[in-house]
Amino acid sequence: MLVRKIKCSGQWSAALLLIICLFIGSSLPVDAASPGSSVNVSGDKWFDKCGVPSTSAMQTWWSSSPYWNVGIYIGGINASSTCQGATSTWVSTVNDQGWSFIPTYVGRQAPCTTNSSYATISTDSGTAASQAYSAAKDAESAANNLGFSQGTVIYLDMEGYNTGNSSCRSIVNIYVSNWVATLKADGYRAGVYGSSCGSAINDWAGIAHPPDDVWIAEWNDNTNVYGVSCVNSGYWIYSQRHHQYHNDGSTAESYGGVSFIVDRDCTEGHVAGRGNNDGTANSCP
Amino acid sequence: MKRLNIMQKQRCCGFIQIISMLIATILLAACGVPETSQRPIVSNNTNTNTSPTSGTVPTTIPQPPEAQIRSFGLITTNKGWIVTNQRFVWSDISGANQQNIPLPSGVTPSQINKAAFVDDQHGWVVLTEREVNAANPADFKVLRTTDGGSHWQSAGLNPSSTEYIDSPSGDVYVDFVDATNGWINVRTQSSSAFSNGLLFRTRDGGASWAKVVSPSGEPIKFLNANDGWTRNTPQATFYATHDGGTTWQPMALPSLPSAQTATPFFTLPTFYSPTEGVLPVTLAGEQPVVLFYTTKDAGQTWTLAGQISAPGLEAGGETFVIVRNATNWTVILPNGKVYNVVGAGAHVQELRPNVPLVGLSKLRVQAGMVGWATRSTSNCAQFKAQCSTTTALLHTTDGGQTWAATHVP
Repeated sequence: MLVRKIKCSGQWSAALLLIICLFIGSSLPVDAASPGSSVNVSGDKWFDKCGVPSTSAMQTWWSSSPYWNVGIYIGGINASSTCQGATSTWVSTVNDQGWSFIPTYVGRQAPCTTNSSYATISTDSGTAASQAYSAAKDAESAANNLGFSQGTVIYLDMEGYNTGNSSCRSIVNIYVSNWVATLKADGYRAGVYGSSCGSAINDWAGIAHPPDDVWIAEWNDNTNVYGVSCVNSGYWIYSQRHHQYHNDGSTAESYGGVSFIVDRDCTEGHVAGRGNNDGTANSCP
Repeated sequence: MKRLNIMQKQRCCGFIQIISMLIATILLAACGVPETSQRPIVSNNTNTNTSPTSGTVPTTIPQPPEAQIRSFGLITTNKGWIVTNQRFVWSDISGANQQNIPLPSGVTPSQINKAAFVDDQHGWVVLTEREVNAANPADFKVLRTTDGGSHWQSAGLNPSSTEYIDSPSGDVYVDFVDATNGWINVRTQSSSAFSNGLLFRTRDGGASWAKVVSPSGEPIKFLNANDGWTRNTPQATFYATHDGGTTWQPMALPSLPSAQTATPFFTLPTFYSPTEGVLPVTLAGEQPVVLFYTTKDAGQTWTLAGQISAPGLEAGGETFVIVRNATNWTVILPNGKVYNVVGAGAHVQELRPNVPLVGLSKLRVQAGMVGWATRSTSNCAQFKAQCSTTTALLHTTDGGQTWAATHVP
């Protein structure tokens, strides 16, 4: 009886000790984890905006909004400081909240663009290829500095231009191809953003180095990643698409008392981070 | 009896074990493990097809399902227009006494992107459709009336097909200063790293439109036929024109920090006389603040008049100012806080809003006291699911210090 008494008391003490240890352990700070090389498929809604919200605002939107992923601008000759602002600490903190990322690099734009403020690709094909190589290397460095390592996915922003200009179109395709080739040679996954018709995304399926993923802009308020104008639905069919389907214009969205003006996106493609595939093909819930 | 006591003790120990495990489980759950999806990861493949075919460009802008209020504005302190998906009406400030504004046969309110009136006779609507045989997706139909909607005439914007070849854009911004001078800025498709637009000007009441220069795809505000302003948010730049949009210049404001230290968001100026106005600039950064600039020379120059400290304010939010008179303003911050500013910025007093004002957008004011604004709030009934947006039209009759719901047709 004495032995049993001791045993029971011992079990009680052990249980109490366990509880105390767990309580102390849960109170200790844990270092936030960067996304590293993690790339997964997401099948959900996400948003992109110029600039990054505070981590507290991101926590509010994680809890209150329908969005799973966030687009961030990581650098590029045409990326304004206003639209950047992410740090490695911000990325780690937001990653820990549950978000995944679409890191985007704003490189040179088409030489025939009508926007005179853009830095443009050279009209010489050799120089264009070299510029793309440099941009890809710069993007890798920028991504690494934010906690995205070799193996991650990086997207290039290629805005719309006069696709009726055949020499201009050829130069853009050379630039995109060399961007993709450089990233892939270095062990990264390469994506490209563009307007469905205005960036001639369809061309990129037939270039020497097609993008792994495409992020297609067509503001048609249809979340489906297929059936977008000017892009063959037979291309990029293995969870390789994002669709920017809505622009807020000047009207902010408000969740949990926090308001932002954003662009809305839907994905069945690759994101940097854990991904959140809900198993729904071709569109967001 | 002894045996019974031993069994009771054994049960007791087992009970303690169960309770301990339960408490341990609860503690583990409370350790802040992020809510992440447990859904399966789909495997990927990089194969792509090699048979290109081209798609087609749609002819209209689709309808966002939650945008019931499409356009609104005031022409007097008790009369304005409201466009919803179902109706196009005149209304008094509270939403009563609504009267349909007639449209041409075959045109419905759901086809209206924006409407604008300068009085109850002269008005314009920009439709979501393109002109017939348009070569450019930005060539929207613009209807105009000079008799309050009894008769309408149509015109197109006629942009060059080489300048805008994307599918239809998002927002369209309209501003008329009188019955003959007006502008339409069409936002063109781009990433959020850019803000691009096509700006069209009319000097004959909308019978013809000429493309001029557009520094961005954002709202525009004109004071008269020549002086106007806009912003380019990604560039963090405030632009002014003094020739009706033919040329634009970035406007440097005194004492404005560089965009690298504090991100500015420019609210377009509000004028309370032909020469005097207020321009709020919301600065996000380590010490968020809203700056107020005033002008006495129709916007040729601006002077810093005052500021409101705004801790916790996020970047990219718009501050609204209702100028009750030259020295007394009501200021509504993006976080919904309301301030009474007196002495043209000399004194600031926080007010308690009678309704939540987070999510406010599209403010329209007459005579500094009467106004309409939309307020959108969204929520999800479940985590990341069953999300919906509610947009309300609010009105004020005391210069923005109190607000009430407006009946929407």
